[in-house]
Amino acid sequence: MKRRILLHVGTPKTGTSYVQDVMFRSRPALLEAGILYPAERFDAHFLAALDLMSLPWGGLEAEAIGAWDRLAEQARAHHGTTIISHEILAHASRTQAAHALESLGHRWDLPADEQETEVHVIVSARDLVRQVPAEWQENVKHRSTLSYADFLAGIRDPERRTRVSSWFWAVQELPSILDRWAHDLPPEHVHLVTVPPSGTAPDVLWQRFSQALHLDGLELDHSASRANPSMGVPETALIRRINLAANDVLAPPDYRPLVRELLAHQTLSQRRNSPRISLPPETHAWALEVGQSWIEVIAQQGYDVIGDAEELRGAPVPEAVEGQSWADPDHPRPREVADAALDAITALALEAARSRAEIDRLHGELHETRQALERSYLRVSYRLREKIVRGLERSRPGRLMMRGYRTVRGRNSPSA
Amino acid sequence: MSADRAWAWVAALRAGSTTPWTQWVAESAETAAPTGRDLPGAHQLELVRRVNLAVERGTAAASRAEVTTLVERILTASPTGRGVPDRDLIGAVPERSWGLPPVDPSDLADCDLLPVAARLVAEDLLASGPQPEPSQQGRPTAPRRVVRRLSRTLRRDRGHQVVGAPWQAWTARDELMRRGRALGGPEHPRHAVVVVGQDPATMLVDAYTARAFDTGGPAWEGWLRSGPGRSLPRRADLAVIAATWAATTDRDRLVLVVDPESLPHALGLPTGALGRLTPPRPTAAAVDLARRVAPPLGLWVPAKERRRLLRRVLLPQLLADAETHPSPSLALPEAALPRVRRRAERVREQVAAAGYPVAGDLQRLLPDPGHLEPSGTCPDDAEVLALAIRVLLGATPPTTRGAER
Repeated sequence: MKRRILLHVGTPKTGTSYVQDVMFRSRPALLEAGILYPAERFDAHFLAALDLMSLPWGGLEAEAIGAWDRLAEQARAHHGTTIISHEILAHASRTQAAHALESLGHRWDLPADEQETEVHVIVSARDLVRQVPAEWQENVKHRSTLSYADFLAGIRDPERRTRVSSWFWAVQELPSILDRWAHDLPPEHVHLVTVPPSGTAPDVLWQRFSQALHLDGLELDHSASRANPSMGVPETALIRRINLAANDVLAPPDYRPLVRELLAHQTLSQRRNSPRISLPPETHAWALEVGQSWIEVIAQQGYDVIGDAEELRGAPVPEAVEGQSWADPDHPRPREVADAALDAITALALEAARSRAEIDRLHGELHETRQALERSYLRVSYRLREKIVRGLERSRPGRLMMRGYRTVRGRNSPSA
Repeated sequence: MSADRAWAWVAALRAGSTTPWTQWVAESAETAAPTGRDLPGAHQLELVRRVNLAVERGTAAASRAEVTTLVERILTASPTGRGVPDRDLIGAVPERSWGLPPVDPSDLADCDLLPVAARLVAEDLLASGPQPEPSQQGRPTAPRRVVRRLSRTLRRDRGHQVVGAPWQAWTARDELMRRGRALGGPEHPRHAVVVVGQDPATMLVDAYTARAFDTGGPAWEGWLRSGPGRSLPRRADLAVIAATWAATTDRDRLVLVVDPESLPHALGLPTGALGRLTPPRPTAAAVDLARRVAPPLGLWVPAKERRRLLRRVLLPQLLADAETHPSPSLALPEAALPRVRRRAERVREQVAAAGYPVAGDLQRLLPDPGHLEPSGTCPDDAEVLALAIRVLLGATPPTTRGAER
């Protein structure tokens, strides 16, 4: 039986976390079916991707050293199907993709029927009409202070001069990702999973992933949370203003739990009645055009499309409604932002109260520990040693003797 | 033009050609079969051509085998981090509706080639292995350590904690360690705290140099505007540094050294130690190369090891290179001079008003007119790239000079 590797390389914001979570939880069931999902920790493939692409990621890169080679070794050692999945692999350069494929056993100079390892590249993709606002919001949740207008201008700049626009296109430009990862693979080994339009039942996307990853018919653990709600216009504007005000004084280890998790994910994402972030009409039309050009490229290449390539175009520009204007995240309605801020303040107050309770509990524990320590000081042997040291410290010869003793012991702290 | 023509150019570059792509296409009809899955990117190809140019001009002493190894490394190297996408070679790929347009490699700016070069320099540093700190070099035998400890006890040497201007303080700590002197800390609770500092112009250059040879960071001019409200960075403000240390240190243990010539005495060292207490002055290009090498290096080693590799391995190489390729030192750009003069006056007044114990004349805190001349000014990308190529070609082999300093 030929070794087969299913390499899911992107793109972000296409439901990948849920799929990866299901596979991580279901490793024993997958292995029983001959499918290896090589991961000792939930972010193993993320670390491997960081290592492959030499990407810094808030200090996590230190844990990533050698992670790709270890992952590839596990894949090569498994005689069956191996699944590797992480969306930031979409960022890989041609050289990095070539190294990854080679390390997995793919030979660029051999035809498909002579390969010892059959590599399939899987890319999940969503239309730009939804991806562009989602990427800006993701940036804001990672401390960005970039306005929506500047973000849009950056990604529409043909030279892609900014780091944000360069990253956006590296991980979202579908024809480029497919070309970098799969130009030398047979088109039937390249699978494109399209994300269905908004309002489609969530199971539809899972069924498409299941087909692409050969998971149909397997009993898998679906207890992972599928919900990854996004924030609306006033909520995202609020987080951006918090970034502007607090970035200089709030360290990343505090930002993550307090702003990203507590405020953005747990509090502001729950507000469902505010306007959703969308593209301004002219940018929306541009996104439809780009989507159309991608559909044409995919049709020419003959890739295996799971879903409908037409879904990559995106929803049409909404018709203008009398009295309703496009909700601009750079100029949100003050009242809506104030409402969101009230929810945020309440959440922070509750968190502060919880922290105070925890501090009180720890104070109590510390007090008990101190008391226990004091009781131990009352032991006879301790009191005797203390008496000797105090006696010696009273005279100069005694102090010299203690200094000599501490020198020989290798420390000269004054503690007894 | 086609990919086959491009592969032939790659073969020519591998053989040492210095002909630019467009000229090569105009003069040659050669084609070649691919030797890899993908045609190398325009950045990598242009960097190889620049390496060949350096070899042709004789600026490097590398053997042909070493050059060949370096060329192969460049052809398969990707820059680290975000924001540096590979570019295709113009004429080598079919027209398409997506992606960045292909480029003529000769049109790429020097700064576009530096990320790949910096990554390779970082890889070389990594391959050089761990370097010992001065205190570990020729570690004295156990009896000698006991004698030293007793000697320190008899001399009542409680150690000197050297803080302040980071580059100068690092140099001073190095010298103390080399001499086996105590550096303060928990073992010496009554140690003296020596705050070293100089005029703001020198302190800014030194603070930036220290950062470049540690974590890397923004470009020189951008860093000069990184203080609150785009002002000068606080890290080089002696009044702030002195106030911070004075708040936590008894006055009888604190001394502010504003004159480098007073430093040996403040540290209890002979006057002859002055030379070794003077921090090294790498060129502007060297500092810029170090700040570009630091981020990729940080991907593979912990912060402490990165600093050690930059200061113990790369710095000596760069200082040796400056002897054969003299180049201006880092200096302040014209636009920053008025702000530096104002800060100098303010720092001198604040330090005098605070009444700290001072070694040296406070007038030394006012800028030396010589320091304010924009003699070296900002790093030049072309010089930085040329330096990176010389380092990669091993024109200045690693020495232990910096470590011995």
